Amino acid sequence: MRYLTGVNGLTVLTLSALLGWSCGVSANDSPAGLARDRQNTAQALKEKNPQRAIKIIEPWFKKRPDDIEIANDYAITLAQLGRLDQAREVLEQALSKNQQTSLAFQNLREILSQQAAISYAKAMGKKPPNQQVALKGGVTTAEAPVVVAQADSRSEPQGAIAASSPVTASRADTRAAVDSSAKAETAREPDLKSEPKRDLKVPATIELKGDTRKDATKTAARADSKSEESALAKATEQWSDAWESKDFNKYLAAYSEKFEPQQFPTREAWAAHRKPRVTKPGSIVVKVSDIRVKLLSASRAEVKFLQRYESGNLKLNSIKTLIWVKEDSGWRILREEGR
Amino acid sequence: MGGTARRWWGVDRGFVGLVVSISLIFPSFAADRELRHATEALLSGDLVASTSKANDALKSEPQSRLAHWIAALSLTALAGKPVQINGDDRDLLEEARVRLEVTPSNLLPKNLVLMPRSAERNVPILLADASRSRIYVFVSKQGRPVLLDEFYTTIGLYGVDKSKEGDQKTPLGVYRIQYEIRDPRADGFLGKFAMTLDYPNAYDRFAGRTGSGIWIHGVPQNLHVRAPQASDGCLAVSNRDLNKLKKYVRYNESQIVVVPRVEWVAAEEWSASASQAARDFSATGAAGRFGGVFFIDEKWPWIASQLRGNQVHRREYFQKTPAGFKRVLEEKLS
Repeated sequence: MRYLTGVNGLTVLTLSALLGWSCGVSANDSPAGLARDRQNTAQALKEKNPQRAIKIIEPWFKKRPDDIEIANDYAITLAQLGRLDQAREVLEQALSKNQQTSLAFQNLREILSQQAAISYAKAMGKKPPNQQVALKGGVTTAEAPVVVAQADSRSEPQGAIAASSPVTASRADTRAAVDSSAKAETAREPDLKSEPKRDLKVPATIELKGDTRKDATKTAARADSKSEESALAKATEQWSDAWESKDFNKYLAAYSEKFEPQQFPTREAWAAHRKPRVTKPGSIVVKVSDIRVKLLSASRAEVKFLQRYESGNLKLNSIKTLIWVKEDSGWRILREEGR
Repeated sequence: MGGTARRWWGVDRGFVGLVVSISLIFPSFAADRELRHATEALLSGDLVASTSKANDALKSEPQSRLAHWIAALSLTALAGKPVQINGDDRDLLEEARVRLEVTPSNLLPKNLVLMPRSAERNVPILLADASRSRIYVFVSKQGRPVLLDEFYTTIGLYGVDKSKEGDQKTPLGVYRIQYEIRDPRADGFLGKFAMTLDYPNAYDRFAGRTGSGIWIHGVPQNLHVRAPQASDGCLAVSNRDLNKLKKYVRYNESQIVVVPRVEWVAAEEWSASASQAARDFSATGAAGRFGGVFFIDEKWPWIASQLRGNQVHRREYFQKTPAGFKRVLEEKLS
């Protein structure tokens, strides 16, 4: 929720910057029209009237679903309506469309989770993992992530402070910028800041993207996508079955040659790491449920599901995301997220 | 006799002064407070704050596992990864739970029924609350308990109410802190020193309780604290806290009252109960130069200690009856 707060403040900043040149122009599809509508959205949210806000911002979002600023306003509105799942989906979708932002976001998450692993090891009195953080640079191809940082256990706890600094810094920047711009906007900030917290108490109603984003092409492609969705669900089950039955070749075959491992520089390094773990003696249980398929394009899909893993006395439930890519041989895994 | 009494006065005032300055020089609540704030922030979902508060706590207690754990959970969640809690986390969940307990600032512990009058003697009394994993340090100010300090403590693995040797429970009752043992265990597992309790007391022996060697001690050098329930029956505090606690202790003069749960009441209620007890106990002839009257819980006799000089030399155990307090046991101490 804190992220939302930060983003929320940024919105105010952007709005105040846009305010100066938006007056008087009313052409609906123009940048000025957008600026005015975003300002009205912010005003409606300030007045705790998300119903009005959504009427203003939703048409813009439908027109430009990949515009990160519009998506952000829309997500804040949805969050105020208590539709947290949808708000999250909108932001994730918009972030994933912008490759640079997406990589930066993934890298931030990668750094945070590496720091988490170090802290957890210390909490348990164990030696912190000396793992390399595989960060993806913008210039190199996604298939070959560059190792730009090495986790050093001695850098803790300073490292952990750094983790919070991107957020804190952006919030501080926002505040400074707001202070120097319109005073009215400064007055608005504390009000907006308190909103995400309040939304926490609102029961989230889950609405699927399909309900809000119907367009002609989608309807036409529906029959096609249905069969793709069931193919993906089946592929996901085959993948977990291969894992459960310790059939490493079959398990490995589920992964594309272009597979982008999260913690390893190459597919080979990852496979070498996985092999002893998948094939280790003793029976395991890997079950998937609540499979949700989302087609990102004709050849890309995101599959989210609950994974139940049991081995000896270890039981883990986690939410996993697999990004699949359609190749000549069928759907194969391009990325794997969540543990 | 009068001269001697005045000398005690002087000593006592000096000791109170010392005690007060200790608590001013070492704000011992700092790390405890930061750990509590970090836990609160984590529970409220404010992950940026819980990360930074955990880091604050780590500045003063770099070995706090709870602080590392809170940082780990916060960072995991910030990274958008699912947070998983399993059996390994149980101790830390327990520590987080007791860290959330806030000591009521305007209430008094009913378990310290009567405090020694400060004109006679002002050695602090330690009150251990098993439910909150705390040792409180109280001193008498005009007969009222005033909280000087508090410390997180580990108690026995199986809780309180020790009855048998090796049951890994902490005894309930009133004990003297008798003497100090240097390097109580060669491998340093119990810290640099231990302060001994005179368990079993007469009532313990009367009730058939066995065992011995109940101490207040430290922890291994590489730890901040141990889990709330982990010892063999001793009270284990952080090594830093052990040194601070020692400054409040005078061997053979200090008493520790171990209760399952402190009953906190408003000052007026405490005063009313104290006046009533003063009347009741003067009727028994016990409240002469007393070193305090203590209440453990309903199943326990009330305990009054008597002083000779500054030393606790007698403990008496009373049953509360409709006709007043009845002495059930008397214990002479050497």
